[in-house]
Amino acid sequence: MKELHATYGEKVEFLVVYITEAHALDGRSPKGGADGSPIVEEPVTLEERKAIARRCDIAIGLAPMRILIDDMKNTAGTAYAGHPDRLYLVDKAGRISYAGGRGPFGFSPDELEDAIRLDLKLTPIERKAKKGTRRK
Amino acid sequence: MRRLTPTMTALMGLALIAGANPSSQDERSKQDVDPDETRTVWEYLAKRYDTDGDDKITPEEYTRGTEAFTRLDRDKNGVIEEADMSKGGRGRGRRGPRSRGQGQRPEPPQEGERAPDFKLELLGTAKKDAKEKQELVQLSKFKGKKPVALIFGSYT
Repeated sequence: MKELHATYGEKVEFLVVYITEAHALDGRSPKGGADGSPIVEEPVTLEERKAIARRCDIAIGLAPMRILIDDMKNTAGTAYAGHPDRLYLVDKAGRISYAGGRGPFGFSPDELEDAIRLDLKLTPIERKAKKGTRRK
Repeated sequence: MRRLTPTMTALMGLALIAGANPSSQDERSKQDVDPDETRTVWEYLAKRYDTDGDDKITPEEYTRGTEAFTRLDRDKNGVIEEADMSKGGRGRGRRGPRSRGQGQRPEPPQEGERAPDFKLELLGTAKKDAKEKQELVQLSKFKGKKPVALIFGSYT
């Protein structure tokens, strides 16, 4: 994603929307620790969610993309069915020009890039066809 | 947004210096236990909640509510112990009918539809967020200006 931001960031606003945890240790699908994934409790306050988002930012390096924090009612995550992860492109008219599949299998930076290039009227990139269907 | 790179490991210890959050309702400060410096979930939970050091976390010791306690007490013996950590919990609710309401997945908006608007806080540093008024970013403000790529996800 950082590569996409580096390439298109002047013409496209990239916003990370930090939502409810996919695998909090006290959640419905827990992970953490021994399997290498981060140890995270599901936040119960906005401040806790922000603290985890900062850990994520430091670990993965999301900057310079801006990070927005979903509220504790999970308003944006619910409106966009963002859980566990998903990509969208919203065009200048405020319409969804690309709605990605549900992650992890449907999470496709290549598809997002294709949508960006279409929106910006750039030459499409030729890609090898991938097997499997996009999960919506 | 799910993998730690080896080069970032050295930075982990710095994360909680700035990112430690004192606004929790817990009596023990979150600064006491750095999740990025514990190797296992049990090690983290024990350090965080097992105040009497008996290797069991009781409902009285656990401060994050009944629902989470019940999920962690996987053998349902009334306490959270290391043995609970190996009893799975993964995949629960992922398969099977989703018509019961709770856990039902929302439908994603479709291409061509108006993008649902939102106004959310922009993440700053812990120091900045503690001192300054939060900056809000509204999606609809970009209309007419530039397209917006939205990346939904979390650390886990």
